[in-house]
Amino acid sequence: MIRKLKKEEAEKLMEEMNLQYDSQLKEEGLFLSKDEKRESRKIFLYTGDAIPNVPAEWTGQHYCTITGDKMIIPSIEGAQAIGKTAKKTIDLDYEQAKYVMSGRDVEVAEEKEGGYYILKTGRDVLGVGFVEGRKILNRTPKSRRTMQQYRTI
Amino acid sequence: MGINRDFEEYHQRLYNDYDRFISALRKPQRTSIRINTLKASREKITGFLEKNKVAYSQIQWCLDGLWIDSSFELDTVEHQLGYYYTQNSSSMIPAIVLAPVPSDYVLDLCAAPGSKTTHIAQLMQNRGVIVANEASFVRVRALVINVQKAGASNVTVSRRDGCGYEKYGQRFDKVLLDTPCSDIGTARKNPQVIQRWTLDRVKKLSSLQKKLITSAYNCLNKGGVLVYSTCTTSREENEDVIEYLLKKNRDAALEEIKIPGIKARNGLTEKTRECARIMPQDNDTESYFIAKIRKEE
Repeated sequence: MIRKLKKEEAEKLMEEMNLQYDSQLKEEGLFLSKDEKRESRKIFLYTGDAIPNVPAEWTGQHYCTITGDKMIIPSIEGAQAIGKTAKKTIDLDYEQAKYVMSGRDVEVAEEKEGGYYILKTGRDVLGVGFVEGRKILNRTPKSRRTMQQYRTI
Repeated sequence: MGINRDFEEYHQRLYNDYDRFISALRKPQRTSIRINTLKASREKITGFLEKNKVAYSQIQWCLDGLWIDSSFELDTVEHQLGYYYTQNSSSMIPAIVLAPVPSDYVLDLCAAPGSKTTHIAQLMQNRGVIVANEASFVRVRALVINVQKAGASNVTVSRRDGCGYEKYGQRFDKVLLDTPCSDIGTARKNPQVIQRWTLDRVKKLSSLQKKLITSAYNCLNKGGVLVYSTCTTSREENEDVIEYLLKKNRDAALEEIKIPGIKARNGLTEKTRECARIMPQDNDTESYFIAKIRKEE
């Protein structure tokens, strides 16, 4: 079941997302909420002119997931949007980016406060990772991983 | 691999230059990509290719299409981020012929795995409305993944039988029917499609295609455009399907297809001359058939 978010709900979502990732994103489009009865629910962004009158399996773009404890976890596409202005980011070199996109955890030189971060390499946003100490736990969906194999670093 | 005699005899009757046709089908498929302008600029992708010392050149009929060196490993970080899509060069043509604009309501009736849906979304700059339908449960998953990866946010995916789709009541300005077919166009990548070819299977597919084109046409607004395409060669799956539609619908008018940069042959029959047949021996591509039909006001 999909529900359109009211304007104030969408504004609140953006506000919380900006707070969580220290960003200043203003998104245009219609936000839709799915799986509202589950502990985690998915939020979709739809930029079409109208919602068509057909039986839908999927509408728009999976933008983020809101967990039971109110954490907002952006999809790769949501992260690509918010990552333009976010400051809660971790910059990786291209070799580390390849590991992330192949589904591996990576370690960084500097210990960070735990939680979700936007992962970037240069200006490219890779999605999010969950940081525990120096380790970035992989959150790349299986369907978006490269099949190339890399050693763990 | 020995040749399928039925396939050979059928196609010898179809083409005067059968030997050139079969020689072209035996060549390995050229590699091509489409830059996803919803996420990446042309400069970004050509810069990426140059950095990796990958030879590339422009596909003449698709502004965002590039031929690239086939030795390049396409499964890269950039691919998974949705910056480019690997797509056969001929299969870029249907979306170009459809020519969607950002205000259009578009139906892609047999949409998986989403090559043309995502191409249409980028041509529409994520505006308007796109309905991407796919009957197969397994294939709809690939469609959703590709729509997501492309950053296409104006797409609604449905999973219904494409036959009788007009019953949902939604009407469209443009409909693309890239229909299931005997896939001879993919022979350069999957040579076994030639071995599997039988006239009996072609006739069964033709029957399905006639149902699908009727459904696609019924979903059109007056003045709307239907693009019918297949990646195959048989008359039963191409010209016969178009003639069937024209016979059943007096307001259906075939329009000429002009695709700068590619050599296209006419349809095989008098009534379908405006259709385009793309042949591998003419363009070093896959085979394709494309028809453009307008529902007159």
